[in-house]
Amino acid sequence: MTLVTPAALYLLSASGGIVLLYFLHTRSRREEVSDLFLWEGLESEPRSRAARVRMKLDPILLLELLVLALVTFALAGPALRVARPHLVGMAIVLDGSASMRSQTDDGAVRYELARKAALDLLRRYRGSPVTVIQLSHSPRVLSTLSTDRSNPERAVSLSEPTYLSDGSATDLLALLESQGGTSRFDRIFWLGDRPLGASIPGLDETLFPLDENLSISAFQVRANPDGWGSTGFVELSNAGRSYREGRVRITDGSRTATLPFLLAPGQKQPYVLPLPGSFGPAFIASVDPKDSFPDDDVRYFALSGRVDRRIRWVGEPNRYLLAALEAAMPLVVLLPDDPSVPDLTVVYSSAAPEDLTGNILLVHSSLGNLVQIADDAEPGGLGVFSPNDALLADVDPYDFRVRSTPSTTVAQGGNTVLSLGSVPFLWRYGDLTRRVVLISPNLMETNLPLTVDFPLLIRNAARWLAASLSQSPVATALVGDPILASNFGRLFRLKGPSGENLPLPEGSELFVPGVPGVYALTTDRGTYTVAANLDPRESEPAPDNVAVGASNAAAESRAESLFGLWPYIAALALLALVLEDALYRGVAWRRSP
Amino acid sequence: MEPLIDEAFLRRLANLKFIVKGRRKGKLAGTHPSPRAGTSVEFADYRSYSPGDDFRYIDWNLLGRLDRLLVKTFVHESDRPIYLLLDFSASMRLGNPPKALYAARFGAAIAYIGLRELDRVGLYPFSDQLLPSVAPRHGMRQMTHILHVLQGISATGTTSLDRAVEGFLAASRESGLVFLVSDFLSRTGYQEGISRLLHRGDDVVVVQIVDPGELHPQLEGSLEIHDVEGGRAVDLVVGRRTLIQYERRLEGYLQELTRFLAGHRVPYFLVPTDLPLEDLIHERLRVGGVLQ
Repeated sequence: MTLVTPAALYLLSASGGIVLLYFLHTRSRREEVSDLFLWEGLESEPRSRAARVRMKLDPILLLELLVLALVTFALAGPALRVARPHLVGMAIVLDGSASMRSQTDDGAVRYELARKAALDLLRRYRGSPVTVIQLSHSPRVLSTLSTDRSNPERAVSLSEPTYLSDGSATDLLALLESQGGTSRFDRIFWLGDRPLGASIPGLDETLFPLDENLSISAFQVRANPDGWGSTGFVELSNAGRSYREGRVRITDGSRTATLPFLLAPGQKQPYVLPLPGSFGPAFIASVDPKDSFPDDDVRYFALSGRVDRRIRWVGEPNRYLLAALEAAMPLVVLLPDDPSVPDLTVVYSSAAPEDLTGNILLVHSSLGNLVQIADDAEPGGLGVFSPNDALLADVDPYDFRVRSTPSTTVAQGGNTVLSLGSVPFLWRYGDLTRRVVLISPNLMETNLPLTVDFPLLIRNAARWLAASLSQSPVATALVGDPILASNFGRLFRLKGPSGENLPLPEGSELFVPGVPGVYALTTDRGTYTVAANLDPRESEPAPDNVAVGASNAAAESRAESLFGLWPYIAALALLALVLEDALYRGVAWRRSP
Repeated sequence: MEPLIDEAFLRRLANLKFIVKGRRKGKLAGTHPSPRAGTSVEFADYRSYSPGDDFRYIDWNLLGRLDRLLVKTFVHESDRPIYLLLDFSASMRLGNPPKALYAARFGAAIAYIGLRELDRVGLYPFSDQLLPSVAPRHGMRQMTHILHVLQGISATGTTSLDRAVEGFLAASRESGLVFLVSDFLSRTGYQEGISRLLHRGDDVVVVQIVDPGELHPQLEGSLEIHDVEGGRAVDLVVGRRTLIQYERRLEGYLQELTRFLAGHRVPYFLVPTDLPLEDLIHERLRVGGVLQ
C-alpha cells in the first residue's frame, strides 16, 4: 500500500488538541442540585490511577480520536498497487446501426450486449487511454481519447443504437485519425453484428450476428391507372433457418389490405395488395407476428405530392414556350399582382428590369445591361461552343432552324453555348443574385416550337437554373438520407412520425429523418408527406462464417495502477462520527436533570 | 401549551373523596361532617324544643310517648377549605420531568377532587414567600382559575417554607386541609412552618416530590456541584464512595423528616417524579388514608 499525499498525516497532531479540549471540558462539567447541604463536606473521590485510565478510555474520546485518524488517513490517499492489463491506446467501437436494435434468441438486445462488453473492456483496461466511437451511417465520437473512465462509461451507458445503416471502415479510420491516428491505438475493439470487412491493425471483433430475421425488404405503392385507388407491392424476405408464416398488411390509415404468407428459409417473395379507393398519401406495410427485429417488420411509403413551381411571366404570352415549361415541371403562372416570390421568371419578347433577380429565362428579351437585343437581322451559321454543356443534354442543336435573329449584346462573364454567326443564340450567366438563360431569337422566327428537342432544351434550362425546378421531390427515403426540403417550397413546419413538431433545419434546406416513419412537411405550397425507412441491408443476416464473439486479440502488456482506498476509509470515518454523536447524545440525555 | 391534566384522567378522579379524621367547623354546606347540627339527612341527636325552632323537626312520636317536645337534630355537613401549598422555588425546576410540573399536575388533581366534592379550594404557591394566590372558592370555575395560575407560574427564587407559611396563615383565616407540596431539599428547615399550620388546626398532608436522580445520583468524575437556588458551588470528584456518602446523608435527612411528621401525625408521601401521577392519587394517597 502507498500514500498519495503523506503530508496529510501531519493532521494527526490535532489529536493533542482534541485530548486537551476533552480534559478541559471534563474538568468544567457542572451539575445543578436543589441545595448544597447534602453535598457539602462530602469526601472528594481520590483520583486513582484506574479512574484516570477509565477517564482516558472514555469511548467518546476514543471515537473522536478514531474519526480524526481515519480522516487523516483518507486525506493521505492510501492506495493499493494492482497490476492490470495495459494498452498504449484503445478504441471501443460500438456498432450503432439499426440492426443492433434487434434481439438475440435469448431476448437480449444486441446493442445492450455490445454496451455491456464495452463497459467490461473499460474496466479490464482501466488506466489505458480509450476513445469510444459509435459507428453507423452517421458515425460519431462518444468519448475522446482519455485515461479517465467516468466520461467513457457514461457515454457508453447513455448511448443508444440509431436507425441508420451500417457505417464503413473508411469512416472509422477517419474518426481514428481525428483521435491522433490509428498508430496510437494498440487495439480497436469492434462490437457489432457483422464484421467490419476491413483489415485494420489491432482490430478485435466481438460480434453479435443477426441470424433469424423476417423483414419487409421492399415496399412501394402506385396509383392505379384507372385513377381509382392504389396498389401496394411488398417484398418479404425470410433470412432465417425455419419456415415463417403470418400476414402481411398495408394500410393508409383508413383502408387496410392483408394477405397471408408462408416463406421458406432464405426465400424472398413479392406480394401485391390492392387498396381500392385509397390515394394515400402515406402507407404503412407491416407483418404479423413481429420477430426479434421488429423495426424492419414495418415499412413506410409516401406518394410524391405535386409541387407547383411559380412562374412569373413578363412580356408577350407564348403558348409554345408555356407548353414546353409545363412539360418540364408542374407550374402555376402567378397573376401580375401576386406578391409571391417566383421560382422562375420568364421574359418573352420584352425588356426585363435591371434589378430583376432569381432564376430568369430570357427569350428574345433584354435584361438591363446584362443582355441587350436590337433589331432582327439575317442569322449567321450555327456555332456550337460547348456541345457537352448541360443545356444541350439530349438535344441536337443542328435540327434548329432560325429565320432571323436580333443583334444581341451580352455582358462578360456568361457562357455562350450556341451562336448564330457572332450573335449568341443560347447563352447562360450566373452570379450571386441571379441565374440567367438566354434564347435570343424570337421563337416564332424559328422552328424550335415544332421540334421534339424544344421541351428538352427548356427542361435543361430549368434544371440548370435551379435543380429543384424540374425534379419531383423525394417522398420516400432511407433514415439518415438528407431530404431537400426546399423542393417542397418554403418550409414552415415539420412534424415527426409521432406527430411531434421537429425543429426546422437552420441554415440548410436539408432535413435528415432520424427515425423511420411518415413525416409531414408544411410549406408555402401545401402539406407534403415523406416516408423514411430503415436501410433494407440492415435486415440481412451476417455472413455464415462469422462466429459469435470472434476475437483476434493482439498481445497486451500489464501495468501497475493505484487502487484508491480513501472512499472506504472516509466511509468508516463517517460511521465512527455517527456512532460518536449517538453516544454523546445518549450520555447527554442521561445526564440531563 | 400542553394541558396539565387531561380529561380522561379527570374522569378517573370523579369517584374519589377526602377522608378527614376530626370534625372541623365549616362555613358553608359541604360534604364534610361538621360539629354543628344541621339539616342534612344524617340524623345526629335530639334536644329540647326552644321557641323559634322549626316545627318540622319536632318529633311528634316522642311527644306522644314521652310527653316532651324534642327536636331532631342532623349532622350539618359543611365544606372544608382545601389549601394547596405548592413549592415553586428554583430547585423545583430540576428533574426530568421537572418537579414543579409534577407538583402542578398533582395540585390540579387535588383541586379537581375537592371542587367536585363541593369544597372550597385555594391555591398558594410559594418560594421564599407566598406568591400570587387563588383564594378558596367553590365551583368548577375555580378550577379554571387554578389551572390558569398553575400553567403560568415558573419556578424561581429560594425556598423559605416558614415565611411562606406565615404569609399563608395571614391570607387564610380559616383552617382546612392543607396539601404541602415541596421537595423539602432546603437547609432553611420545615419544622416551624408545619408546626404553625398544625397549631392553627389545619389538617396537613405533606407530599415530598423528588427527582429519581436526587435519590440515586448517576454522577461520576470531576464536577462542579452548583446550588440552583443559592448560587454557591462545591468542586467534587465524584465516585462510588462519594455517592454512598451522599445517599447516607440523604437517608438521614429523610428519616428526620419522617420522624418529625410522624410525631405530629401528619401523612407524608415521598414521591419520585417517575411515579405516575395516577398511581400516586389512586394508590399511595388511598392507602395513606387521604382519599377514599
